[in-house]
This record gives sequence, C-alpha cells and structure tokens, in this order.
Amino acid sequence: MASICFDGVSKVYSDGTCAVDELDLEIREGEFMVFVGPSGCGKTTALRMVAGLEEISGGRVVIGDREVNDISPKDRDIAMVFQNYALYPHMTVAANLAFGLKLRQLSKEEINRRVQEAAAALDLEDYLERKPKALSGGQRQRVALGRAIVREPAAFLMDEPLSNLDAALRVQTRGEILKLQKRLGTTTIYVTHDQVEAMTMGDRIAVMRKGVLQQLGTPQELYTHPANIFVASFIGSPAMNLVPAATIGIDRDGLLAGFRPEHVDVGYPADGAFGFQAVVELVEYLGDERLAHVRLDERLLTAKLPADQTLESGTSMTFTVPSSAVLLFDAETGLALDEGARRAPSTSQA
Amino acid sequence: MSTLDEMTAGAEPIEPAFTPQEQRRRSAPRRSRRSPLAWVQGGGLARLAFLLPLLLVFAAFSWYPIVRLVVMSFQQTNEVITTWVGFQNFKEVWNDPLFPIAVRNTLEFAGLALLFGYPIPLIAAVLMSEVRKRRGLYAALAYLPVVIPPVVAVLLWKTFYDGGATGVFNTILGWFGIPPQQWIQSTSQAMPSLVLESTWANAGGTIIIYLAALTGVNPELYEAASVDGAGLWKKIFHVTLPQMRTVLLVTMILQIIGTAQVFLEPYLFTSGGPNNATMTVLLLIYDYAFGNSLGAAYGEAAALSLMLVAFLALFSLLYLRATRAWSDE
Amino acid sequence: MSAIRSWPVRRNKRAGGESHQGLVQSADWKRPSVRWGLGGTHAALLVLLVIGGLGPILWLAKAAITPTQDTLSNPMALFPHGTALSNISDAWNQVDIGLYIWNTVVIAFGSWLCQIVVATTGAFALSVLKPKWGRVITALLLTTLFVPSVVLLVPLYLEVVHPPLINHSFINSYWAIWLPAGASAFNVVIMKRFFDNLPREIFEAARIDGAGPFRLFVSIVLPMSKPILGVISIFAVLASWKDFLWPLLVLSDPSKQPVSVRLPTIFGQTELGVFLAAMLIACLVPIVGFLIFQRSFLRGTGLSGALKG
Repeated sequence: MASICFDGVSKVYSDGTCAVDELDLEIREGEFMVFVGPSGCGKTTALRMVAGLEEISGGRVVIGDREVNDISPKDRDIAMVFQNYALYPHMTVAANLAFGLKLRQLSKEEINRRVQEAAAALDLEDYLERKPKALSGGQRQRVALGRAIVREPAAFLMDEPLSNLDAALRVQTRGEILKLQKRLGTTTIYVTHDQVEAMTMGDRIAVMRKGVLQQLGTPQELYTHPANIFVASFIGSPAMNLVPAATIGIDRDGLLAGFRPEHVDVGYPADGAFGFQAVVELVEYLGDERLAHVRLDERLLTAKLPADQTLESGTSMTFTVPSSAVLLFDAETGLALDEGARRAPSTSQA
Repeated sequence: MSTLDEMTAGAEPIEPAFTPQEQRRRSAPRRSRRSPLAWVQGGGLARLAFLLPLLLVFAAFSWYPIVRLVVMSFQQTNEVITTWVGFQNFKEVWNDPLFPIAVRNTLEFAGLALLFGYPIPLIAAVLMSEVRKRRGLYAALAYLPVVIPPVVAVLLWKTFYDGGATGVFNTILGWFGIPPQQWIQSTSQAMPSLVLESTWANAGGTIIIYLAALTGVNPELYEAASVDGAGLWKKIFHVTLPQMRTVLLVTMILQIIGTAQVFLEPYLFTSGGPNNATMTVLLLIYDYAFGNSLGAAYGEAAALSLMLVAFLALFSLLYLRATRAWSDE
Repeated sequence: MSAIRSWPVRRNKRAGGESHQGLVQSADWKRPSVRWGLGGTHAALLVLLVIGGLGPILWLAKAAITPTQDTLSNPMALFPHGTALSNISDAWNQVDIGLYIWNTVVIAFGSWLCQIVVATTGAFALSVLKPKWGRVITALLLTTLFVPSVVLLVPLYLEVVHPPLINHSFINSYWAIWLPAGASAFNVVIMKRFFDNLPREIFEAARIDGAGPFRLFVSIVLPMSKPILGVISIFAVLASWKDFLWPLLVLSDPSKQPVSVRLPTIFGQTELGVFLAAMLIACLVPIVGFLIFQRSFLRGTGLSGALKG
C-alpha cells in the first residue's frame, strides 16, 4: 500500500491542448479516491499518467516515496482495470490472471496460490479454464479485477470499470468492488463519469473539469459545501437549483443562490427562510415522494416534496427554503461565498 | 440567466476555489534527457530490431532494384565496362522493328482478354449468385483451374492445341464436322488461342471476387426494385451493377495491368512466334536481357521495362480520373 | 461424369425460414417461366463448369495412365487398349518428378518463412511500436505496391549474379528466391491493417503486466493474428508453387529446379504419356490442398458470405 501524490502534474499535447492542468492532490494510503467529471475533463488522462501509459508533461507523480515520472509501467507496482477489460482473448482465465506473475518470474506455487485466491474471492473458480469469449460481461469484468488483485500491487487504478455493465449489475458490482478494496486495503484511484458511483464509493472525491481540479473532499463536503457552481450542479441528483439571489429575496447584487430540491417546502416563508412563487409544470410521483418541476422566471426548478403533498399542474404556488440550506455563489466567477456571508442579514443565526 | 447556464454547462472556465495556484497554461512541456541510454529504455532498440528484417529485405530486393532499374536504363554495360549513354537505350528500343509489333500484340492480348475475360466471369457470377443450393460446388469448380500451376495449364493446353488431326481439340471439332485448325501454329489463331487458355486459367478468381461483391448487395434494394415493378434486367442494370461499381472498376484496371505483363503464355506456347505473332512486351524485355538472339542488352531491357511502368502508371492515372465520376456517389 | 446429380430446381423457402432475396425473389421462383428458365440456365452453367473446370484435369488424369500411342492417335477415347500405369512409375523414376516436387516444397517453405518473418516483424514495428520514420516507410511500401514485380527482373537478376557488397554469386542458391519473396509490400500492408485493428487496451494491459516488446509480439500479438497469418500463408504457398520466371532465371542447375521450371524443359524430350503423368503428379499437391482448405481459400479471396447455400 502506498500513497500517491500529484505534484503540479500537467499533460499538454503537441498541438497545445491541455488535458490536465497543474493537478495537485494527495491520495492517502489505503484510500479509495474517485476522480469524477464529465468526459474530456482529464480524469482518465490523470489516471494514465499514474499508470505510466501517458507521458507526464509537467510536474511529478510520486507513488509511495518514489518519483515515478521516468519509470516504466511495469516497475511502478500498480495494477490497472480497463474500461473494456482488455483480457487476452487467446488465453484462458487462469492464464490471463497468471500472465503478469509469470513475467515477474514468481514461483509456480506462488502463482497458483494467488490465482486460486483471486478466483475464490471473485467467484471465478468454475471459469478458470474458459476463454474470455465464453464469458458474460460481468464475468469478464471480474477477470479484469482478478488480474489486478493477483499482482498485490501498491495501488489499483480503475478506469470506469462498470460503464459497460447493465444498470442492475453495476449496482451490485460496485458494492463488491468496495468490499474487496476495504478487505485488501489497497490504495485505489477510481475514475468514473457517474456522480452516483462517486458519491457511494469514494472516501474522497476529486471533481475535475477541463483538466482543472474543481474540488477535493469527502462526499459529504462536496454535497453540502460545493466550492463552485460546477460542483454544486454536478453532484447530487436531481441537480441543485441555482437562481439569481434576488429571485428568492436576497437583497444583494451579483450573487447566485443554490438550494437542493429536498430542502424546498410548500408554504409561506417563516422567519429565517426565503421564499418564491412558481408555477407547477410537472409532477412526478415516485411512491415515497413527489418530484415537482416548477417554473420561476423562465427557469425550471425541482422540489422534492412529501408524497401526500397536493399539487396541481398549472397552479402557481409559494415555496420556501430555509436560509441554512441556501448556498451563495458569485455570479461572475461561480465561486462559493464564505460560510459567514451565506446568511441574509435579517435572519437569526443557525 | 444565460450566464448561469453557461457557467454550469461549461462554456466559460471557472476559477476553482480550492487549488492555490492561478490558472495558467504551461507552454513548454518538460523534456526528459535524450541520451543513448534513454533511447534504449524508450524502446528504440526494439523498434529497430523489429524493423530490421523489413528494412533489409526491402532495401535489398525492392527499393535498390527500382533505383538500379532507372539507372541502368541510361547505361550500357557488358559486365566489365559500364558507360552512360543518355537516352540511347530508349531510342534503340523505339526504333527496334520488334517494338511496335510487341506493343501491338500486347494490346491485342489485353484487349481480347478484356473482351472475354471480363464479362464472362461477371455473367457466370451473376448466375451463380442466384443458385440456391450447392453454390460452393459451383465456386469450387470455377476456381479449380486457378489452383493448377500455370506451367501445367499452359503445357496441357499446348497438348490440346496440337495442330494435327488427332490433336485433342481438333478431334473434338471433328465430331462437329469442323476441319482441324492450326491453333498456335497459325499467325492469325495463335493469339486468340493464348487468350482462351489464359481466360480459362484466370476466370475463376474473378468469378469469386464478383460473387463476393454480389452477395454483398443489400437485398432490400432488390426488394424495393421489385416493389417498384422492375424486371430482372432492370434490376441487374439499376441495382446490381451500380452496387458493384468499385469492384468492377478495380477488377478492370487490375486485369489490364496484369495482361499487359503477359509472359508465360507466349513464352511457353509459341516463344513469341509464329513469326512474332505472339511477341509481347515482356517477352521482348526477356529477349533483350536473356534471350539468345539479342541477349545481354540489359540497358535496352531496363529502358523498355521503364517505359512499360511509365505507361501503366500514366494509364492508371487517366483511368482513375476518368472513372472517378462514375465511382463516386 | 456420372457424379452429376440432377438438381431439383423447385426451391421453396429453405428450412429455417431464411429466404434469399436477391435478383430473383422467392416469389419469382414459383413462377414456372422463372423456374425452368433460370433453373435451366443454372443446369447449363453447371455442365459448362464441369466440362470446363473439371474436364481438362480429368483428361489429364485419364491420359496419364493411357499409353502414349493411344493418346496420340485417339485422344478422346477411354482406354481403347487398356491402361499404362507404367507412365506414373516412369514419371517417378525416369523423370524423377519426386525430386522436383521436393524442390518446390523446399522453395515454398523458405519463401513462406521469409514472408511471414518480414511481414509480422515489420507490421508489428510499424503498427504497435510506431517508430519515428514509420510514416515514411509506410509510404515507401505503398509506392512499391504499384510497381509491377516483373519489371524488376533485370536489376534483381544482376543483383543476384553480382551482389553489391559480397563477392559471390547467388545463382543456384535458394536464398535468391526466398529473400526477394519476403519483399512483398502487400503482405506487410494487410498485416499492418490487421494489427491496427487490434484493441490498444490489450497492449496497455500487457505493458502493465510487464511485457516488453518481444514478449508482446510473441505472447500476445502473434497468437491473436492466426486468421491473417492463415490468409498470408495460403497465398504465399500458392504463389510460390506457381512461380515460373524467376526460378527459371536464377536456378540453372536442373537438380535444384522446381517443378514449374523443369516441366517445360523436358517437354520435348519425354514421351507424352510419361510427361502427362508427371504433370498430373505436379498438380496433385495444389488440388488436394485446395480441396482440404477450400473454405479458407475462398474466404481469403473475399467470398465469406457467398458460400452459404
């Protein structure tokens, strides 16, 4: 197990495009770190630079206590799980698992032991003699995981390993991956574009966009204290409502107010709360709650309301949000305002 | 309002709150040392090692000979002394009385081969594509002559073409009351005889290629044509042939190029005779370089080779240009 | 000839429900004019193919075991005076056809090996390792494709007789055939295309597993290339078997010549019956090879879908 450190790491291609821009972050030993962001944000490039599959244009990557910039992938003591599994098609599952070990000239007994252990951990014992084309998608994914496990590396690098699975399998497998990682305690970097995966799996999450790190923090921190508008709207589903602050009654210029759908209630704002009027356009009944899509000044907002709340499509209603749930952002830069500035002057403190 | 959407959708870059540095693009990436050791580590040795067989073989047996050919065509050599003679070789070839004969014969061969060897496989392939059962048998039978070594095929047919009354073909003609023919011993029949054998030996390959193209035609097009009321011939002309455009064009040019280089048939059947009736350009080149009568005229051989290549290249270019209109959508 | 069956032309939808909708639809087949017209044409075509494709070879087989006199006087008759199996044994012993076939095999094997080595290593380098001058080399290869090979005969011959750096002629050496055979731009190009289409992630996984370029080549790329290796091999062996002019020029020693060079030389000097027997034996290998590898042959020339049915 080793820590991984990005020290001003950049990736610039020969035509000038910058895929990763001076990334600074540190991953602790044994941590499950998730890189998340829309496609093209640089998360995969950053991962590949740790793996050694991409050359580092600037800065250094440190694994444990070694700077690995010039070290080839096989000597970095990392193992990678690819999005499309990248299994060797002409080899059996057992041979796939053993390949890297054979190249490192481990003894036959040791190879056997590791392969058997990994197969047992991943429920692959019955498939050891099969070739990849005779396996289902989920089984192939487990072989890809197994290949990483047998290496007993200092770190796992996973590049969107679940994106080729169907939804149900994805949910099931992400739990298994998490359990596995906890058991083995291996430092892991996990790349995904799915914020649900990020939130449910990561010890900490790094949100990236266009090569720049937006925020690094625990899922809770990202959810309750997003650093900017991008993080605020990327994390959480349904997305956070963002409106000009004046619309909900905050008497300050150049600000945006953000509040999550679950904090919206029907009714007139009490002391210490903000309110607004909006027209109900669409109501979705989800069984345990209702999702109301309401229109305020050409903007469509979402509100999560109790299942028994009566709503009529087309009617204008008053909604309220407690001031403690409102986050303020600078309208020009998009950055979040400090804690203290969040409260409206007339409210009592929380 | 729009600024908000832009910001969350990602048109404008947002300065992040948690990273301490300013956002700045680095222009120069960090350079790693390029020492010989780094080159080896970077895999340079492996690249060279893997390229070596290809580079050596091609340099020695492909690129060098090409250059040499061009050089030789401007030289005269008797294996001891080599002199530069400018365009003399080309002039000698041009003025050689055999040259126009060879060119004419080659054109005749290529033309006849195109006449018979191009449409016949197409018709056969179209018929075969509609065979419901055992199409493989048809294909195998058609391809069999292609598998026979050309030398065997030519010598076999040479036996068939025996001009006496008891030659194989003459015997068959006799069944229909046709008098025996001279075949390859007749100046007028020699070339067509060669074309006949050549077509027999090569049609199979073309049939297979056409078959593959035919089965690749989208069946829905035929169905649409049927619904539109097209009969068999209309379908062939308006669906089949247009869909096979590229294959047809490519096959034609390849066939022309191939038949322009015909050597084996005239060499083995008739040695260019009777009376130079089957002397082709390749045969002339061979005679210049290795033949007894002319022999060791390497410069002329090279010059003629070059002229042939230049002609074929020019022809191909013109062909591509002319057919571009037809082959593009 | 009695092997020709009568083809039931009445074809309803095939068992399984797949109806071939081509030029002639299933519905068309039901009309008697189409059925008998097209069906009749198919029958005629088949007869033509049998006579044309199979005929000459069958005649060769027949003539090979017919006494020469009979072949000369009555070529289309069927064993008027019995057979002459001695033709075959004479072809084997006198003409020594076995030796020439063996030479052909050796030449084919060496040519095949050279082609495989050059094509696999070269394409691997160009496609996977991607050296700096890769594009230049690929461009050079492509231009070579357009140069007709026969035109290189003269300079190649002179090069074999007087190699530039070595003071030793390669006439009568099989290397003069094997090595130039390796210079096939076509092989390299299609092999490179194949490698280009292999998923890059597998190479990356191998790199992380610790495979260097040699390991990658031997353990990963080559095993995954079996289909394309098969195609190249079939064409290499076939081309070698059919090669005539180059071995003619380069191998003057009769004991080294392949079958294709030897046969014309002895054409005039050998009794016809024996000669035809020798020719038959010479054909046997390619024909048998073709019958066995029929599927791959025809697939290699682009017939994958057409064999159904």
